[in-house]
Amino acid sequence: MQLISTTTVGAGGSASITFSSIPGTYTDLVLMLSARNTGSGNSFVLLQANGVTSSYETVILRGETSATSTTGTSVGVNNAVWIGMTGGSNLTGTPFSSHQVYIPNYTSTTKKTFSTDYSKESNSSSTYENGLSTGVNNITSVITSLTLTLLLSGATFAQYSTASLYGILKGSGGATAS
Amino acid sequence: MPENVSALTPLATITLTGTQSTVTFSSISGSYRDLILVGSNILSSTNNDAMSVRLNTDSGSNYSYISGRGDGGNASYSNEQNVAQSQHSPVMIPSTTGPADFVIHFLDYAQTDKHKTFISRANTPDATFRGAGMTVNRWASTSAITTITLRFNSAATYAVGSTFSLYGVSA
Repeated sequence: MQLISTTTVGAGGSASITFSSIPGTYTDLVLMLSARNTGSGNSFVLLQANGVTSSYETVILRGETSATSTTGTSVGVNNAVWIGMTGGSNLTGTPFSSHQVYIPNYTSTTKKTFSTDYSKESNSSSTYENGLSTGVNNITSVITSLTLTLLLSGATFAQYSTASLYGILKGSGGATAS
Repeated sequence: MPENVSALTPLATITLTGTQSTVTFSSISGSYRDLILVGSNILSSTNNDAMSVRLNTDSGSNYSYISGRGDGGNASYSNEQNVAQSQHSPVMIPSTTGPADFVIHFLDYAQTDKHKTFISRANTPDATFRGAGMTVNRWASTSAITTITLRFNSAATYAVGSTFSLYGVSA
């Protein structure tokens, strides 16, 4: 796994985080995000590929303290993949959420899928959660850009939020596949 | 770690050019700490069949698992103890039209002083059979893992284009 690019949000925050000119020399991509939003509440983090703003579908399995909820969406409704939740000033201790998005076969001509693990930390026992999400879009071209934004109106990524993009290259050596 | 030194070493990969009922990784080197197996663009011949794993061709009742899944409307959980194969996607059902993907992390796979634990994530984003799921598995054997066989529980087959890649993780 090799680092392609990393970025850290500066003072004042940022409405979006974008990776562009992604090289097509890897097999899979891994996007890692540590984030907090500047709003007063929780916000889903949104991911778009190649500037496409429609026909995403996401399913999330979330565990929130003592409850478990599932959020589903339908094809054509979502303008982005939901890759988990990040907190704002509603959370004590100013913690950052952690997200890992696995994007297999990003250079293929088939549909693109996005597999996410995430956790939203807090010093309060009533506001933490973790979960999984799966997303898909009918993008059949190579993914060359990824853009992160927030669902909460008016919120931006807070200073020190960091996103890193890695490439994984498949190959042979040390085992046999059949 | 220097940013361009990879901790993931590719070991083997296969993209199916014909349908197969199983996919096997064999002659796995014991030189790494963990293994990661990635499946992408997984399509099957029939809907509604779950995927499972056998290690070192062991078909004895030596696998146990617990899993959770959400499909957008319901969250469900299941578990089995001491069965003949481990479910790495017990409620994740690759459909005939929607691509599924999974990542399985085999921890300490070459250690001979412990049973083997592996954690899997599987996704089916397809509109009809959609879901996100996770499973923790245990193989009650102290043998090093040298062969991994992926299969369906029933008679389904993996479709052309399904891709599987194995990586070694260095300590």
